[in-house]
Amino acid sequence: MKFTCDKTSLLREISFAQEIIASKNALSIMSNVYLEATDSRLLIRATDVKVGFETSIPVSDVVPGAMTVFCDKLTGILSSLPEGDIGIEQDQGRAVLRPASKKARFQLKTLSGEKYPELPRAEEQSYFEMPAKEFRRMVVQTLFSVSTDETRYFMNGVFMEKSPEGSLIMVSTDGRRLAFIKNESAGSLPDFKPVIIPTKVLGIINKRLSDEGMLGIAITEKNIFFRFNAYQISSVLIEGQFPNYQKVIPQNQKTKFSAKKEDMMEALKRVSIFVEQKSNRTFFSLSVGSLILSSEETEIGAAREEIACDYEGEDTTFALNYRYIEEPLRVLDSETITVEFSEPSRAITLRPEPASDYFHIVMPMQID
Amino acid sequence: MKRYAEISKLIMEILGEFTPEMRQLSIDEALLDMTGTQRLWGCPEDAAARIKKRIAEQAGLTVSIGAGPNKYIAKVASGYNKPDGLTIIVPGGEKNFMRSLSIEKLWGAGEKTRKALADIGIGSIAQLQEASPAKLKARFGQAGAKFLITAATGQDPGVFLDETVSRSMSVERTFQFDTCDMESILSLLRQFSDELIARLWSENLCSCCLGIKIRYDDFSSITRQCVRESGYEASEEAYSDAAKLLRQNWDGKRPIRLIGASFMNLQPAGSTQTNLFESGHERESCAQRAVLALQQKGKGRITRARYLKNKPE
Repeated sequence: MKFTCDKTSLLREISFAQEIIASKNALSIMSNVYLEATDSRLLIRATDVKVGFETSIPVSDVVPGAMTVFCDKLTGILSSLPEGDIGIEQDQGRAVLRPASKKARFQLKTLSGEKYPELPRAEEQSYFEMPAKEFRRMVVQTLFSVSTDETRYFMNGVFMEKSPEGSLIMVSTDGRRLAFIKNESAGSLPDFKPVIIPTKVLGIINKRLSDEGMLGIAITEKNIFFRFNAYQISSVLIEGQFPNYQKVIPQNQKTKFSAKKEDMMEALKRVSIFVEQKSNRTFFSLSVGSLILSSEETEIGAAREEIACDYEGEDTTFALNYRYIEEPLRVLDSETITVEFSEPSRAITLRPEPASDYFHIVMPMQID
Repeated sequence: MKRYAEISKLIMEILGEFTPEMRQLSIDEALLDMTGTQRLWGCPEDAAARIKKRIAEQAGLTVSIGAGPNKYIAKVASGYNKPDGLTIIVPGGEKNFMRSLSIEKLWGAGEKTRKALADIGIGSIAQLQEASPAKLKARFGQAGAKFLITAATGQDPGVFLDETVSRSMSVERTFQFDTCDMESILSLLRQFSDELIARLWSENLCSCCLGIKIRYDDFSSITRQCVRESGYEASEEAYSDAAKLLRQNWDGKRPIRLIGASFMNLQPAGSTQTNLFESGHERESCAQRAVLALQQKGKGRITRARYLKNKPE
């Protein structure tokens, strides 16, 4: 096997592959990237067993064949080389790399391509398309609220379903807060059973997907597939029962306040310096026209900051983990935000102002 | 060993009566902050004499006491005149007292540190007091030098800074005979979970970290722990994690001599995060709290049916 290609375009794909590969063990084929040269293209595959990745780039000077090489070292070599072409040739169990720009020669041990695990496939007709920008928007709103508690594996991913009216819904929760988005601009969707998508694949999509063009999605019994540009990415789905999220979404919050998002983020940033590190408990005290954010008083000190807000109800105080406010604030895409609530022991709802197709729910902390 | 622990507990209880600010350092050592107790127990000499007397009467033992303006000097003084010693360092006398001691008495500086000190020509506390900070810094780093300088002058280098009231609670039991019987080990773990949860509630604490301890027939021990995102709310939750830890870490073949369980990283219960979804243990938790409340009021003893010795037909 042999091929020549532009180093920069090979590096781009190989570093993508390296992100998928979880193993760092040089002896395992799971640490390797699969390379297959055919005619004028190089097929690149990587997998960590759960997530599969496949793409291809144009190459020249081809002798067809397949091999796998230790991806970590290949990335290392490619990223340290200057721009220009690179020739790669398989020679008796080794891959020999010859950059055109340097008098250098690198050898990498190869493992046979035949032993590389097969990637799952979806049938062509099961793919549907939606605007890439819309899918990405949904991932951004939900990805951060996922639970990292492995004992609650069914919350370790984002839940996705088609609503009865045909919109696409994504929900994520860690049991204390919840993110919800219902997208009506996803286009016409085929019916599919609700799925729980692991965070790894969504993180990759979020990073690599551009806001232009369409994203192809296919869902099978055990896997989900994404297709954009020359990429095909698959992931196993999380099996399990996602909690009944509809039950915990507050339907009629009694009262609300609005504030400038920037004011609230800035104040939170300062007050959080004094917040008790283990619990992150921060107090939010409301009175007409004012919101006071404060920390607990500890031996070290205390913080308190008042910001203007639009509120006309009774004086009230609730306690929240500041991270559960800070994280949604970062993704709310409006200048003003609204917080709806009923009483200090019940869930609050964060929304952009004006309201959009998404919101975030946060459970409070006990006050004493 | 058991007897030793019993006596230790008794002595610690006696010490606890002299000041609420009592901190047990080891099985036979404790720090007492006597600030503000002068009207109650008199001057340091009188207070120390009372403590010695009480311990002699109730436990039949002599103890060595050191007293001083800070914890460090008190600790060093307690070792000055063993056994049955009493050494009191008055404020201002720390430096001179330290000077009178051999370098081996510099608490917190072990064999290796002493050797390193000897390497740079320091063989006594007096020499250490006069050594240049720069020289010490070059050999021991900033923190190390600071410790040596502070300790040598009898000031508190902050060795007790990380203290908190109670950061963990544990129960353990030694079997009468070493055992491989999963059932009886699990049933003990269930009992421990009940006990620990009850203690957690009665002290108004919460914990997200549970550990188990296994001691094998050859006296080697292991401890294993798990952490969850939210605090344990019912003994069933604690039991299921403890049982899981046991199954993951014991092959079922090696005889076990002792089993223990503990809650670590204890925090005040008030500041807990509430949950969106019910854990499924709410009812159990309510029942357990009710049983506990009844017991505290002395209104009967309610226990799990599985603990009954004579089970009804």
